[in-house]
Amino acid sequence: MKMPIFERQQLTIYALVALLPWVWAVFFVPVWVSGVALLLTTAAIIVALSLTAGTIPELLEAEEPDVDAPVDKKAIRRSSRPLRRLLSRWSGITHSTTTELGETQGALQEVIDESETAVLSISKSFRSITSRSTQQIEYAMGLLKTTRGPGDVGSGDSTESEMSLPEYIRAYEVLLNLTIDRLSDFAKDCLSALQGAEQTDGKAITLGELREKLRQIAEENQNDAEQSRADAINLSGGMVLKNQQVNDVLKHINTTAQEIRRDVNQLIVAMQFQDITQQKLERLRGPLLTEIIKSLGSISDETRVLSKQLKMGMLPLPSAKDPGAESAGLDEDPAPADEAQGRSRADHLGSKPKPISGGGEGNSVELF
Amino acid sequence: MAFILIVDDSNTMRQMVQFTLTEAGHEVIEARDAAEAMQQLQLNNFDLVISDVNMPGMNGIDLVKEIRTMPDYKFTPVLVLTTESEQEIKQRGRAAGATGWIVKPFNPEVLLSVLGKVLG
Repeated sequence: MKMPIFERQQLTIYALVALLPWVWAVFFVPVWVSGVALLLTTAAIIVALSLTAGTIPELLEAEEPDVDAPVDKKAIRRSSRPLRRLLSRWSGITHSTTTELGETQGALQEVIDESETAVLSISKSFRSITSRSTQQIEYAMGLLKTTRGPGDVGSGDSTESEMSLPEYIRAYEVLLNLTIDRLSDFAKDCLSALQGAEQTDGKAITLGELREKLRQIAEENQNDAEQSRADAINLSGGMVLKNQQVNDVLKHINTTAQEIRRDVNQLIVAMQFQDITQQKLERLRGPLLTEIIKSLGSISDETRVLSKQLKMGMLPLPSAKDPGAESAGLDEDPAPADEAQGRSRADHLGSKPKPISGGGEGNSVELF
Repeated sequence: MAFILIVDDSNTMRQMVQFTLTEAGHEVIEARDAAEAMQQLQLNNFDLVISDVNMPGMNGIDLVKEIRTMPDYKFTPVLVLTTESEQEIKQRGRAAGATGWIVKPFNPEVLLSVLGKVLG
């Protein structure tokens, strides 16, 4: 049987203390008596120690603690088991947290990329819409207000082709009024000539004179009519040309309207992407990060308690079925469960939604 | 022109659907959740209902079930508009009585095309 080290040391101290009261006797007894007494006391101490610790060499060796002794190793291993478990758990949590944080980082990057793409798309579509709308308005205004039509539409060289649509309408109105006036004048002239022929103041007009007068009036009216017809032909030519320009402009406006519609559709899809990514960000910000913070908080508390117990020497040595370990939250390595939890949370975030292509319905629509 | 109810907790999404449908000449009423949708369904007589799935409170699938219990809406088309695209949840929607399933983000032309089909 081996006595613990601290007991051997205690025995030596006790022997020395027992010897001290006899030190004063050295001055009153002969030197040889003191020498013999010292030798006998030393021998008694050595015998006493050898009885408890075995051999003298063993006793000398035992003066320094033997950390490699099998019993001590076991004790150290036993006492450090909770700490090792905690460290293992720390390792597991750190691993799963790192994985989760990696996924979070990836998801956040995805959100940022999607948002950036969406914003760029929105911006591009809006610019395109604004640009085309302005262009459309300019065409329409050019058609209705300016004296000259759009430069790339038609190529009329005549004066009429440079007139705007309202000006053509006004010109037609003027021409019509002129024709009516001329017809009215013709009627008046005819009436006047007939009245002149019926004069009875003694000098009745002859038939030849009447014919001559009517002929002159007819010639004048014929000239006027030809002039009116020439004006009308000119105006009609201009109108045909202008009508072609109007058709071209309308076609252009229609094309622009279709392009605007396509841009608006893209804008709607982009806005939806922005909304979906925002919801994903909210999910990340909510349950996932809360869970991570909760886990880390729990571990931190447990570590603090364990540290306090170690400091106060209150840490119980765990047996094979140590309930203390469980009560202190020192259960087996929870890393796999946490990792699985991390995976399930990552799954909950869902995969990136894919945009629907413009034409076909694809797999995005299903009618039951 | 049809009278349509949109149910979605996302303001942006409601606006996008509303814009698309009103531009096409339909009349639209919005609801933020299933409870508000139920109130609107009782007050009005809609030709079509478009609903999201993931909403606070009652989800879209349960809302479809509730709609099908209402005599006035037994045969009214109900479309589900959601980010969910798994077959399992689609089957749940179908079993609940949904007429069709559209995955977000939707293309306005596709949505109008589907509307044309279900409204006849």
